[in-house]
Amino acid sequence: MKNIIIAVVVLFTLGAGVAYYMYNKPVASLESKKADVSVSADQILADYESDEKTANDKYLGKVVEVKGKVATITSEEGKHKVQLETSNPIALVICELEEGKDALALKVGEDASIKGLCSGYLSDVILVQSTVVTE
Amino acid sequence: MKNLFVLLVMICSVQMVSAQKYFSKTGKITFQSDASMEKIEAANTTASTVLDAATGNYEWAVLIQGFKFEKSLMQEHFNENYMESGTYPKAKFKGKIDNISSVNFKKDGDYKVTVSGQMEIHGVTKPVTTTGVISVKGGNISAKSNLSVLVADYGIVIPKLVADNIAKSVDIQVSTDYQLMPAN
Repeated sequence: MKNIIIAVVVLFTLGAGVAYYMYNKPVASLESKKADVSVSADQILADYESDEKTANDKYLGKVVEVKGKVATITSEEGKHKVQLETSNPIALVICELEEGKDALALKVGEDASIKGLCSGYLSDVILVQSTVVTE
Repeated sequence: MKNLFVLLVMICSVQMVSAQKYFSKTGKITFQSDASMEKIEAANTTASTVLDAATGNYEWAVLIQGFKFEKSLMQEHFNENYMESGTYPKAKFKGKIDNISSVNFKKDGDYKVTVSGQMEIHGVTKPVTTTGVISVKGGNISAKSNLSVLVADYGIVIPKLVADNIAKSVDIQVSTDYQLMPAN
């Protein structure tokens, strides 16, 4: 009888521990996650410009790896952003890098590959929690 | 000759007025909800906004999936259960700064403004009115505002089981530094 009580207490404590851990789990880094979709900056913008709804079905909330030429690299309040050029001169793929990550050795005008969570389209395509993909 | 000069100046100044549109793609939106059980907060720094200094027209748009939470489970529940961001990926505000004429964009200072318009969250559009501050400093324009919304107003249903953990109203802060929009 005593053993059963101990077993129940141990199980309960473990369960509560796991629940507590799951509950407090921070948002995981996407760096080690494989991209769901790989696409060029031109293509993802073209998809969004032609039909936002269909494009959302394809990209929204997914880990997307976008390749393109770096237009600008900016930093504001410790958050770094890399903007990729598209064939539309006033639209970009804006990639907000994960906290604590920077643009590494990226240079304006050079090709880059960036992986992030696609949060959708607001006249630019936006990726959040992004990291620079290095081969 | 003098008249011609005045005319030229007038034409130039009209063009300057019409060109006074400001925009930002790095708008910051944060929100908190304080309930008995815990504090929920999240931030988004990729909001898009346009401010027309001549007419007072004012717009914001933000992507729901761009909100970052501290806890992964909260972020998941926010997107999947409450905001249904797969169906309603954006929130938008479209309105006007009611007293735009009281803001002197050429003179440094903090100007109190009243903003009113339509807010769309979770596919539901409601009228909102709030106050904010437009700051002019050395030619740079920034804006900030706080507002509070009721979750129920936007058709967001919180299950009874967790109703005590989630506040009925959410405090939202928006702020950004504007850039002058190139004339088109």
